[in-house]
Amino acid sequence: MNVHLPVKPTAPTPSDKKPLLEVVDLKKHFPVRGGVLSRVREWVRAVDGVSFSLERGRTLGLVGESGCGKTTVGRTLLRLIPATAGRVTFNGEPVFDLSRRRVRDLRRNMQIIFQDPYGSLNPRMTVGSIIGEPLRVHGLARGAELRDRIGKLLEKVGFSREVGSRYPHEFSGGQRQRIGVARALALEPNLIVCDEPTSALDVSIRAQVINLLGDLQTTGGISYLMISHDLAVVRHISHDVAVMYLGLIVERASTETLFRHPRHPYSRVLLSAIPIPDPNRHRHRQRVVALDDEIPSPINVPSGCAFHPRCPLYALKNRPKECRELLPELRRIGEDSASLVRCHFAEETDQHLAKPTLENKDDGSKGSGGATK
Amino acid sequence: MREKNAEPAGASSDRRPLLEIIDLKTYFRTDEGLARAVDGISFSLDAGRTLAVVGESGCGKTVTALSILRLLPMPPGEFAGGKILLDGRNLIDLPPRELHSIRGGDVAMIFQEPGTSLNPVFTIGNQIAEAILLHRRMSRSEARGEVLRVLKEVRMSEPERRVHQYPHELSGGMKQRAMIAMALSYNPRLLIADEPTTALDVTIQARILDLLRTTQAKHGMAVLLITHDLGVVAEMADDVVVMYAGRVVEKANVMELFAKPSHPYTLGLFRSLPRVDHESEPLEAIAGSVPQPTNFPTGCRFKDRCYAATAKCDEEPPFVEIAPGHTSACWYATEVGHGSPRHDHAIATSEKPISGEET
Repeated sequence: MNVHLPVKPTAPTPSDKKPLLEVVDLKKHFPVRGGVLSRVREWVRAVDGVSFSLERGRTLGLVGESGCGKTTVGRTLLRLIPATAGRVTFNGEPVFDLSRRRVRDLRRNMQIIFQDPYGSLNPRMTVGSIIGEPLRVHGLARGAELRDRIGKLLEKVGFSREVGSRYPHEFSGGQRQRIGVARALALEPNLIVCDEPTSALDVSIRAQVINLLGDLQTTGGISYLMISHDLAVVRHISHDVAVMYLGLIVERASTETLFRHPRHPYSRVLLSAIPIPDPNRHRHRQRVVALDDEIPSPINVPSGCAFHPRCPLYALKNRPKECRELLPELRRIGEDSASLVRCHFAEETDQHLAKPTLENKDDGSKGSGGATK
Repeated sequence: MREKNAEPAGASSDRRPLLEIIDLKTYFRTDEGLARAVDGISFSLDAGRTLAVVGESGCGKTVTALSILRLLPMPPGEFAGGKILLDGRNLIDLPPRELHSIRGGDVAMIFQEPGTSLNPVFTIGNQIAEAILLHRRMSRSEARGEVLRVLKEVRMSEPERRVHQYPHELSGGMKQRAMIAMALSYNPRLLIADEPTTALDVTIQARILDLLRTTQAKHGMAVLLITHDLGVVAEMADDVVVMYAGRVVEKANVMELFAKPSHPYTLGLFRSLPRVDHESEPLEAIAGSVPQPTNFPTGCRFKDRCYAATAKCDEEPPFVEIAPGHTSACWYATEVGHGSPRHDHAIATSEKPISGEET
């Protein structure tokens, strides 16, 4: 691990323009049951119309706070839980229309790494059999060939071949997470959904896993959907970022655009809340603060723009009616055609709200500082 | 916004610190042997200041915090040496009755999981009132008024409604506000905050940190902040103690530490940190993993993972003074980390490869 490949490899210019993964208007509503007959009393609208696409060899960061629906997006598109509505196309195939057997084939190409490296590895299986299981299940290798492929996978994630005969409890959290990565890699997938892959890890160990994911993308051209609340990790490894709030994407942009110049008021609140590991920076920082700390329940999503009751821009603009009544479209904004924002007044964000000023030498104006402190 | 000065704010240097920890050793007898969770650490904290104790899991930071309030089960835990002086009084020798006046009196503590520190079967109002009545002479109705006052002070939304609610009805952020309210109700001189925002979302974290800062300024409390998050350290701390494997490896004023980390472990933490305030640069992970507390290496405990280790590191490293108030427990402390923590890569040329061998 001495030589590091570039952190975010520039994706190979796709010969076919078709994205690897395309998600259109994905919805997942969970029933809340109650009463003697356990009738459905209400619905949790965890994901309520999410669309995005992901190209080969690229990483999309899906960020947001607890309850925004980001984890549900990952599980739904892998068909780990059934979707309520929407369409997912992977490698040109309609994921939700496939038969169970075809889904199994699909899973060869779509893998997931979970947050908890303790809960996701069977304690009674050796590391080797954990990593080899997908190969066995899919009937891709056995005997000496299986052992050889397990050995290669172990080496790929930085272990020696011998550790295959050990059990998960003999490993630390970061090492277990690398075992989880090796298992996800076993079938040589095109896509890995990473669900908070580093949240349970210590700083020094987290870097090992992040570097590993980056190296694998450079050498293997894997795409990642990086689901995380850790914005530093997301900035580090994603090409593009989508910000979710209460079941919807509220902003999507290239990573640098999003971190330097977020347009949605919620993105500003989120980015300006991150503690920066630099005591000098902290002093010169203006925070954009939401009007209310509490995120509304996804059972009772506010009308219009779901963020309006907490939105500093809404308050500064004297509570315009559209925000309360009309759900904003996810629309293009600015010169960058990849920048999308779901806000009626995104053009006025700069005028009213401070930029997150994460960088030392931040470009642009500081904004008027209206709702800042 | 509060300025962080190189000099202790207000306090003259000849005054006795509020909290002084001298060569503290807290051990645990386990089936695997003696775990030297905290193994001879010293630091001090002046009134009104914030000291961050930073380190990764298993470094002993939480055991340090729990030792101060003597909240550890003994056995299996034991104090194997050292002193914890609060205003010159050694808490380790204190009889249980006097200890009671320290806990929830001079010293308050808030925890990472506010949910588990609140009793699920009592209302928030009840629990805070209980805490107040335990330590202050007042009637029940006066206490009720006091509950509302502290809930307002921590800017709890709809405090009149919250007093009648049970912990499960509150969000994580609200529960932590309730815990801070309870802590403030004693008017403590020292607040120990053990990862107070780790379980919270980032926007809520920012609000709780703001709250801690403003209430600290208002009450003049000292805060001992236990955290693994260097971002939180940068925002909150005046001074920083970096712990590794039961020992203090570096101590400095916050500006000094971030500008000139002088222990290879501290430097490693900075270099392995993905930054939200920079475009990506390759991360330099620290090789290997944290040693088990039953089996710490002799001499420098970081040597097996250190890029700069030599045979000399088998001996216990001394505390080397880098600058006034800035010390590092490394034989090569003066050579570590010239320049900024991110951009000087010259020293880390011989990083060891990561292998599975260290388990």
